[in-house]
Amino acid sequence: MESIAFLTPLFEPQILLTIAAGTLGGLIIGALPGLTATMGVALLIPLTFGMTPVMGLNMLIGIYIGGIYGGCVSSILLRTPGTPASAATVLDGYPMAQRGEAGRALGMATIASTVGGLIAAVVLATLAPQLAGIALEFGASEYFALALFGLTIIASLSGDLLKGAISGLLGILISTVGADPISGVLRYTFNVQGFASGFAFTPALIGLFALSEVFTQMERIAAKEEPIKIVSGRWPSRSEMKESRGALLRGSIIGTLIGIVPGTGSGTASWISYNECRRASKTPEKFGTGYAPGIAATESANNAVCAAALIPLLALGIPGDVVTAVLMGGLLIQGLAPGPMLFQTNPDVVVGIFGGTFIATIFMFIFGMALIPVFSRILMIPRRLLAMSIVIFCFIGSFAINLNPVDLYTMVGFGVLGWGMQKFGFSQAALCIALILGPLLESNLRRGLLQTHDDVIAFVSTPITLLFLALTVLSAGWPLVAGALVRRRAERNQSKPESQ
Amino acid sequence: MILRERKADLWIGCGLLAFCGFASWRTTFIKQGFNPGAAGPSFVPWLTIALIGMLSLVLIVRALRMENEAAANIAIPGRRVLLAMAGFTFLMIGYAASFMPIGYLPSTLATFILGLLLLGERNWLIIVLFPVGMTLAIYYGFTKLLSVWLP
Amino acid sequence: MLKSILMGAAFATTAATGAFAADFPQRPIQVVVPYSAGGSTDLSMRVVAETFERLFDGQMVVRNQPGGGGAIGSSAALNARADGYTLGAGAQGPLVIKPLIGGTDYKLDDVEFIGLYARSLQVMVACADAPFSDYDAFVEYAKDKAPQVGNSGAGGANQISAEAFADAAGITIESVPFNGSSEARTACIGGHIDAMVASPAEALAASEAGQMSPLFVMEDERIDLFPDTPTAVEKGVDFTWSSWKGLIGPKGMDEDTRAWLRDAVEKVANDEQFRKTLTDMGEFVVYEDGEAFEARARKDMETSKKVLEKLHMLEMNN
Repeated sequence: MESIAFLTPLFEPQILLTIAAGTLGGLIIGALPGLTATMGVALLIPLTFGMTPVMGLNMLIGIYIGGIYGGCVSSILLRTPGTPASAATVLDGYPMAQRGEAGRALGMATIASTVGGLIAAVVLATLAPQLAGIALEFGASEYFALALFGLTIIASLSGDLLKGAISGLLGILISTVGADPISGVLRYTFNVQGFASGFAFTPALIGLFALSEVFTQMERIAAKEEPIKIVSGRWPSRSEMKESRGALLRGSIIGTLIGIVPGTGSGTASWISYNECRRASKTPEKFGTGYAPGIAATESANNAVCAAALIPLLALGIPGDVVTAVLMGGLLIQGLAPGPMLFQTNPDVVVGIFGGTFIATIFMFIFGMALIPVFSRILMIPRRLLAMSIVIFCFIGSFAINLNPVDLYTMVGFGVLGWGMQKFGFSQAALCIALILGPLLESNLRRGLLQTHDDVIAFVSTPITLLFLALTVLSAGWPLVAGALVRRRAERNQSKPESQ
Repeated sequence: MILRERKADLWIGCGLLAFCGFASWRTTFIKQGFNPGAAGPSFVPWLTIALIGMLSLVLIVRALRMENEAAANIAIPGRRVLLAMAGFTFLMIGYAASFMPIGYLPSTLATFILGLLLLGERNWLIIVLFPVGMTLAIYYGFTKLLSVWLP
Repeated sequence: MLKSILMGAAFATTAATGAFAADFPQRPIQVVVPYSAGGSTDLSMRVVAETFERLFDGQMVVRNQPGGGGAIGSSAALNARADGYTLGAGAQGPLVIKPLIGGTDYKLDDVEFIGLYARSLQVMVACADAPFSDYDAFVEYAKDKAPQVGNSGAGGANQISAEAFADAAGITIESVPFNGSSEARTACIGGHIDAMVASPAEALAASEAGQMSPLFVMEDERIDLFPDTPTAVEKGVDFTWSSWKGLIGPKGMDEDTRAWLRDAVEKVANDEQFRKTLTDMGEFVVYEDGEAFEARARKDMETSKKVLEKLHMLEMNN
């Protein structure tokens, strides 16, 4: 096999060291709230100028994989997602940490990330050209249907369906602020130029989850509640592993498939995976209470996206998400044009990237497991100091993404909103999902109608669209039906005492 | 302090309706641009506003019909904590406002110290030393290691 | 040792421009790139910064301030203190087109043009499954039915150039805006649109792979990468368009600083290694001084104004 020969250079100490450094760096960047994997890759691109293509690209891939993984650390320990991809990990990771099982939650996340990463890497190395075709099937109507399907997660995610729906709709409305994607008309910007692109997503997310948590911490400090300082061992128990097996596999597959579809990304994948794993679970009510399979679902999906997003990039020259778009810049600067020709002109680079993805995932596992005790020490920091440090990180992280001072107000505003929503039973997750999917939904609906000249039938009648629309009806309809059944049963039981 | 969920929902529903009114008013300001299709720039905003309005009405009706249950109570922190939280919010708005004009180092240091005081930290050694260390460490990490520009 | 050589080099260059500028730059020069890191404007500016640091005794730091189609970062650069330490990456969309659409707090008149170091040539390509694959078939098709031409964003340079061509050639097209050029390319390779405007580098890779076919080049003469692809001019349509990459700053810099910076851009743009790196990245490296750069921007503005008027987008957001 010729391709084996291309793998040997990967094991030169220098390249291994670069990948390791990239993965570790990405891990730390991802773990810090407010610093995302995208930022890490973008900031460190200049470092790769002087490197050989395989070395430079693998360093960037290492940062990417490490960064997406690292996001789970602050999600679990602090309830502040380190990257948008890990927002869904908060749901089960934080309650687990609150029960004193932070170590096990982190261990589960590490295992899940590794499994997801490895499965997607295998798919990348074996089926890239075959699967890349999926990416091409997605036009405006397919994206619209996918976004609509994604939004139905809200229905099953929020305890109070009505409030969840309101949160989701608010999220969509909020996501329309800024320049209209189709006509360029400014909407609700009140002539503030800084809002020309709307509320920046990451600062909004940081506010919604991280800053709001600081307010909650203030309440706890005032109530003199003792913080949880117990950290369990890092290996999940045998029964937890057994329960999570299905979620791991399902999450990896969902993450891989969504990763191939360009423009969706790891945030979408982890939410959809969480929802699907919950639906498939025998004990869906345990999700959201600190249940290990919940972590397995989200973390396997978001790391699967990392490798899967490379599939359309390498096979077609189409970046699958923001980070791979930056990686594509990295390829171009090395004088390589990604696309189907790359397999013929530079097989060494392609194989090198395949191999690098595996190596980086393995490094991620080693570093992740080794660092769990170190990360867990964060919980030992006195609560006031920790709370204030998070505030500062929220600010710097929100600012560093776009260097736009307006984003700081966005972050504070969403922080207050997030606290209020949590207090009054409105799901923050619903708002978050709507913020991710709202723009995808709107721009593709409008673009599709533009392209079909307002022919709605033509717009929805492609096989993938119909499939997703059917799934949407099914998954939106089911909780309604189930809820109605439960209510009717409850009413029947109640009706007797009432009639007296 | 305890708030009944029913009452809270009633107020939130009314607040949301008021917000929908405001949003509708602002939506009329959106220009239509050059758009040949039926769905213009204000299509999705109108759709969501209408749906939020409808659901808020449902929320209000549901709140009116709901019976008082002890389990549905929401614990609101006491007046002192609420005041501290409001102060904290203003502190952060102040931080956001001063970040660009006076620069990262002084604004962060001041916010850090004031924030710790608001959170009830009374050990002056910690109040001084920790913010200085943290502020400088973040500054070093971001500007030197990640070459992020800070004002 | 290296440092002293660099110092020597710096003195040599400053001596050439005059002794007065010897005290500039004393601290790092920041260049605001109004797009996210990793895009072509960002990458080329990073190569400029690297070359600058190699040639001169000074530091150049790239600062990404994306948002608003480049308007936010451009505004930051143009409203900065005019001391020569905060400059901007000059891009066509935010400088020429955005102020015409409105909603920006600057105008083209507020721009101090320092120097242009590269042009980004443009090729119109037919997408996968398009019912045409060369210029004549494209124009013929457009006579009956408006082809759907993808662009990288509403009111962006891509949309203006496609519409300006349609105007000059007397055909109608239907512009389909996407969120960034990579989304447009995805739709193009997937056959969801008929045509799009691409850079020669991406068009070459994609046409070799059979994903796109080049229709025409928006230059006066045929270009080396596409010797067999006609220009619009040779087909009898008076239309050329290219995007550009240059260095700009706020108005009101003092004369010496400005002269020093202009000279620096010239030296960078003529550096052998710089030319090679940028050419490899698919840019067309060419140096134009401040005046020529400004004239080019103003000419683009005239073209854009006409197109925007036709699209009812002129001063839309004011």
